[in-house]
Amino acid sequence: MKRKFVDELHWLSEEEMLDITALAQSSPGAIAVNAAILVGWLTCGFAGMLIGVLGTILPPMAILGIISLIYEAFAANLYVALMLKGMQAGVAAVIFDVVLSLGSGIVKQKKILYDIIMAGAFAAVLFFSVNVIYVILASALVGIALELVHRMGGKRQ
Amino acid sequence: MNYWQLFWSFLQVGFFSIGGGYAAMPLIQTQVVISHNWLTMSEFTDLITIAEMTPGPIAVNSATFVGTHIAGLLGAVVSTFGCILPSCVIVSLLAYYLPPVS
Repeated sequence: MKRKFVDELHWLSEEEMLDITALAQSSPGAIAVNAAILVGWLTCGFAGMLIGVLGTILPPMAILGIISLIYEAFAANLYVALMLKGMQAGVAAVIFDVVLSLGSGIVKQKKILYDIIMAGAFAAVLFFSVNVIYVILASALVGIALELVHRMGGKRQ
Repeated sequence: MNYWQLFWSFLQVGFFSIGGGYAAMPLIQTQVVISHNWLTMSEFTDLITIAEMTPGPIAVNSATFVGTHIAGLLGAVVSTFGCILPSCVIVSLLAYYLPPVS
């Protein structure tokens, strides 16, 4: 994205691109969609935003729509089924790699509170099948509360 | 009724998937496999594999796949719209009130 918008088209400066990336990653929703909204808004206002979002979601909608329509015939085919099985193993490995790098990022912060949130959230999902939405909300609240307590403690000293 | 359920399910996915596609997977699984039985677990793993291999955000890919599967083209539009609506509202508010330095 950076190469296209900053280096090729000169729609955005390097700093704007950094801001967009940070905002897009920390807001809820798909990062590509969030970034499209921001780039569209900054370059062409409201219309740019709509066009940007449409441009981002139309290709995946077209592809997945077609795949979904032919899925039953597609997955019943022996070769496709075998291919999917093989790819699943690969995808599981990719996801595991993401989990490892995210998890080790948390552990490296050396804040025991975040380790506890991570372990607690994991246990809640795996052993108690708590709805993920509640886990995310609870983690967010605990994170805010602990940071506030920490700051108040800092002020008193 | 199906349309409303699709919209509402993917609205929750869109609203709570903070941090990209991988965070969205368990949310999608909860909505699609556990709450509504729209897909079996093995269909869901196929979906994740397909969504990983094709371009586009996983949440949008899943919304389109499940929407089409359950309620055809309109289903796909409704669930994808639900999935991106929270982004559109929240990010455009942010863009409006916190314009990045230009």
